[in-house]
Amino acid sequence: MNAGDKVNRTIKQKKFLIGLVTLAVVAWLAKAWFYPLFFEEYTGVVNAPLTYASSKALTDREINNLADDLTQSYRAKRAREMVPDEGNTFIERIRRERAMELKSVRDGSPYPHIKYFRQAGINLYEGPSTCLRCHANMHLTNVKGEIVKVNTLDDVVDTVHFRFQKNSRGFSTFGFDGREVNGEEALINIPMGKIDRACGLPGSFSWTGWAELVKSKPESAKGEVVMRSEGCGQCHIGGNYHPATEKMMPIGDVPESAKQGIDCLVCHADIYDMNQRVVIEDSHGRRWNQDRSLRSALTVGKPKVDSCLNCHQHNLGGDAFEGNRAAKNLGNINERFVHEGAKRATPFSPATDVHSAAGMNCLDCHTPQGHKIPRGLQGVDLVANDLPEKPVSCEGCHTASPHLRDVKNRAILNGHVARLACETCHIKELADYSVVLRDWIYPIWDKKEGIYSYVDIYQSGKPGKGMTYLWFNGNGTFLANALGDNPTGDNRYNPLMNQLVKIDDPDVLAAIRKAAEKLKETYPDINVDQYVQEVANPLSPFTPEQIESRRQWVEEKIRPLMRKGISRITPFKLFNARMYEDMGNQGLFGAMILPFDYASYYETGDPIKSVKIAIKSPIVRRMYEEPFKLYMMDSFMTYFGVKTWSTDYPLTANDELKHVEKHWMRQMASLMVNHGIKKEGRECRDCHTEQGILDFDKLGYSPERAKELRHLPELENKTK
Amino acid sequence: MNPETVMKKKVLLYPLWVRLWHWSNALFFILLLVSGISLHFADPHTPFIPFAMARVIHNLSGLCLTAGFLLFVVNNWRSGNSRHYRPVRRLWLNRIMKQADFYSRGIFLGKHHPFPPTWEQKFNPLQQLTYLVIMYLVLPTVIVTGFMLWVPEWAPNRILGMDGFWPAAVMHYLIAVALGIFFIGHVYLVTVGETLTSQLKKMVTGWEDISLHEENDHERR
Amino acid sequence: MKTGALRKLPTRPASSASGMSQGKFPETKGTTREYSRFWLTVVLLLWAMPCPAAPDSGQHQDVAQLNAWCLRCHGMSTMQYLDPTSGQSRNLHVDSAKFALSDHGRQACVTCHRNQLTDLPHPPATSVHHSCGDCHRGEKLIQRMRLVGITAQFNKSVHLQRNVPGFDCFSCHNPHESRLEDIARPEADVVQRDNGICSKCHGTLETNAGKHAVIPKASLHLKAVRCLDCHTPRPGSVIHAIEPAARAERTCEACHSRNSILLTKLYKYRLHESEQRAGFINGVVLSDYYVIGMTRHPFLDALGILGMGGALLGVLLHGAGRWLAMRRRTNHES
Repeated sequence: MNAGDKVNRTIKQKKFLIGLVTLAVVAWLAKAWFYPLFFEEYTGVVNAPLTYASSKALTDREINNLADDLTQSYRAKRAREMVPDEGNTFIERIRRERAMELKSVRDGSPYPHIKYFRQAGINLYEGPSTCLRCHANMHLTNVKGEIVKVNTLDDVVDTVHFRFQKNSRGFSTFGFDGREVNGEEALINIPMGKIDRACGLPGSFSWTGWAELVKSKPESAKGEVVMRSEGCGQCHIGGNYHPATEKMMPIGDVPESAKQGIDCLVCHADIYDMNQRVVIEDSHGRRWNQDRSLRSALTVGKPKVDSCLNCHQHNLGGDAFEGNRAAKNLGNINERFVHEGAKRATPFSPATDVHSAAGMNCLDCHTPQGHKIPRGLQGVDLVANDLPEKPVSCEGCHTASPHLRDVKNRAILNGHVARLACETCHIKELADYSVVLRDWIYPIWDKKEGIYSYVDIYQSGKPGKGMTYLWFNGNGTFLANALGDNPTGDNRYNPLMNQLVKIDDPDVLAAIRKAAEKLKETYPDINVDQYVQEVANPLSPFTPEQIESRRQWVEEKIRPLMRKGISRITPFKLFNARMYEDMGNQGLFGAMILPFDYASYYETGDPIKSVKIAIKSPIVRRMYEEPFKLYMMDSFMTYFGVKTWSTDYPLTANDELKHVEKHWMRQMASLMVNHGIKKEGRECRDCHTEQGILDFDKLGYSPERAKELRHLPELENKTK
Repeated sequence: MNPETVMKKKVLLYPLWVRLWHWSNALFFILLLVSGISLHFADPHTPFIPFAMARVIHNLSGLCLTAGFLLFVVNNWRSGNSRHYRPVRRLWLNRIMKQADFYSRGIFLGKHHPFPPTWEQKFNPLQQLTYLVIMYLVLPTVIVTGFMLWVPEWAPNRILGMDGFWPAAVMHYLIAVALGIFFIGHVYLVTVGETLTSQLKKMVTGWEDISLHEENDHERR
Repeated sequence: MKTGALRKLPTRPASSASGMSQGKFPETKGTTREYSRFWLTVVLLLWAMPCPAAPDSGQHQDVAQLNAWCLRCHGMSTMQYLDPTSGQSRNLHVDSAKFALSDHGRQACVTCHRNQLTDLPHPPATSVHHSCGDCHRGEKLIQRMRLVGITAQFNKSVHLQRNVPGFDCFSCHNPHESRLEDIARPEADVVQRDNGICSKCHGTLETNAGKHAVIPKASLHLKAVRCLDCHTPRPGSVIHAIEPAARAERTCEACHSRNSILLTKLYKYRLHESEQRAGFINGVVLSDYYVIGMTRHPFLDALGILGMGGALLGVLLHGAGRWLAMRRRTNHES
């Protein structure tokens, strides 16, 4: 009896154990096998092991030659710095040759990894796996000032540079419904960042425009087809067939293969060949190539200014900036496009920025924490921030009393700090090629590049034209409009009903008219008057009742956000674009923008066809379905000021677009400008005269006060 | 009343932990009372106990008394000693009146205690009521208010529009007065046993003579 | 005469409601002429006003306009610079709202600041007054006596005795903001404000908690009482004679007793005020603060003593009764 009991119990235990093991195996299978399969099937993304042609093993002899070459070129560079140009090339050459033989120059070891690689017997750079052989873990100082050890790969994978979205708090952005994005009042936190944010500047978003190959027919090729590279992936460190889409979901992770596609060298190598950054196509799909040569790998170290500028000069100076290194190295094959019209032309270079001239590194201000790099506390857009609590500010170095030299005026200049951001005086203007108005609807043939191109109908970096001054408290709306209010004002200041929705500068209007007339040459059915009217008054699609309710909405929901914190007058680059919008998801501040498929847009110049192709992308289709609606699109829409996301897919069964209209965004976006800082700031008379750059009335001052601000007796009595 | 009919039995009515707790409690109580008076009526010219010292004594004793109180609550519940604290609801007012009547009249006439201690119930009705209130209402309150005075951060910021500290302070003081009165009564009532010191002896040794025919005894009177 | 000069100032239409803070000054047309007229007025005013009396209400409007001119710049909250000699920030800001409410709010800026104001930037030390007594002298005897007393105390204070450079009345009292009414504000505000003055030089509450470790719950004490209450001679209202740290009050009973020094210091005005409102006893008791040993309610004290005494008396009587009864019983039996 007793023995039987025991046997029974053992059997029971065994059964339980077997059940447990089975469950564990099933769970593991589900996570490791079925879920990724399901995920790829559902979203249409592709993952596969990644190989790179430049990742080649070298013989010892080749490595020695390479090491000599790198060391020599470093010494030559040092010698060039020591011996300045004096106009006589012969003397310069002799002196520089001698300088290269100096002990201090010879002893300098610029690339310690030459030695390390030899010691470790590394003759091939394979990507992250090679780095991780020594750097599996790293130490970093966290927010509390503690030194902690972290897994290097995890640290990188978690950065915005890789995932470019965050679903946590830390956006300085507020929805039009008055709630902070992913803030305390958020219903659910949704992944937000550049990954899921369609934008009028590139005309696309990352799923539909990650890595594209375009057939161009440039003039220079005399009618031959030349393949070109385009897409968001050119500036992101992931080398996979798609952005890190897995990271957007509540479960699952980026597969190992995608992690091995991370480009360590684009940030860490001193010598990186941007010519390798082109789109390549293999049996799995298209992706961005990288420089994985040993030559590049041997030069690794902490990121230098040029490392960051490989990508970020695009957003600071633009491709058109003369000193943009990447724009001069467009690719050995499948060349990238040179985009005309910069997001904001504030180049970071010694000639254009005082901090660059002082030899400062980007990381001096953007002090990293491991691989996470802070963006600062302020921001108007939805770019995710790895370290939202870490400030990046002028005051950090320059104190609250920044003006030291000008003994006569220092106190009054510092007095202005209470009301003005430093950039207001120290960025006098942006370069001319800053794009303000971009029309995607009427592409025209670009002979040079050999593609149909969007049209920048207005470019300017001048104050009052491409650049404007707004009150800014560090926050922005869901569609990148600076929030802030005149501290002395009485609701007079209202950019969402005034300066951001009206173009009334006669010069700008004239330029727009001229551009429209030019467009009419290609598109005869354009009505120039109507065209100008639509651009100059983006609220024109609304009825007067809608405009009135928008005005009330601003007072009720947006005004409290504008009143938060301390507002300062801050310069912003203006931007608006005309694209196709899904009118089924429209609110008082805008509608869901539909992306373009780059290849068909550039090749055919047919924007409608291009939109159709883009929204057929599986993940866009999924956005118009139930799980995605509940998971994020509903929340997304509430930030737009619209109750729910309509899943009415804007494409009919007959391949016709429905409820899709072409519109300018209902208000111009205002983009922060923080680089291109000049040592000499603006002077009193630049603002405090009748022709001053600040429109005190629009900034919300009472007419009397505005008049006073335009007339300083001190100025009018003196010659200066 | 016939002594021969009452069978007596010696039982350990006050186990060791009760006695240890009782005497430590007494010690800390006295320390608290004395230091408390000194703190409340502090005066630089006629220092009873210097304020700084009184503060330390009061805090430490308070802490010890709290610890003792918590131990008492736990032990009382676990050991079954709590049976003495379980109120007898039957005719409770009558029983209390009877006891009061004994203290105000019977005791002078040399009458016997109406409710001598038994194994089941060592307290007389009046005693039980008092101890119930003291142990489970008054002591917790004085402890809580005491901690609020010690760590003012724990006191609520405002109570009914007043500073939150005030009610705690006043309540602590009033309860201290009440406990002082209780203390005087308690010490005096030690002397009302068979002899002046017999009760004291019981609290030292723990042994008590209890009559086995208690109920009968009651009925007869 | 001086009013006349002021009246000549160009004035704005009455529509300027918030004129004070927004610096409504000369009309924009013909500014050059009016600019010089402004300075002419200032010079006339200076000449005509050797020492200020409280301006009457007619003048008040003009003074406000005059001050608005200065506040155009000095109203900027970040009007400051780093002083090359000290390396410290030198703030030139005057909070126009606070100034308007302050005791000096009806004075013209130029009454005290006179030196070469036409130069920009103004030369250092534009102020002609360096102590309160420079102005407050021709007044009532009682006020004069009080000022003499304060000056005597101040001269004894550790700051003066140790020749702290540049230490004067204005090191603690901001003439642009101080208001007599402030002493009647709730103690918590008074403590915070007064200790804030000391903190400017002596470090924050956190850094000071360590130095005051001898006081139990130092950080709470530092939040609840003023530095002055312990660091000035006791008893009495001699708060201007700040003493060196070595002589600070260290006995608890100084405050924690019926004759608490706080009653002559921190609670002095509050006591006075609430006494008038609620009578002496309630005045003490109804204050927001309970200070062990100090805030005793006589009624509750009496209740305590009576209660305990009564109990003692009760048991004595009861015991005596028992003793008597027992003796009678023993006698009876024998």
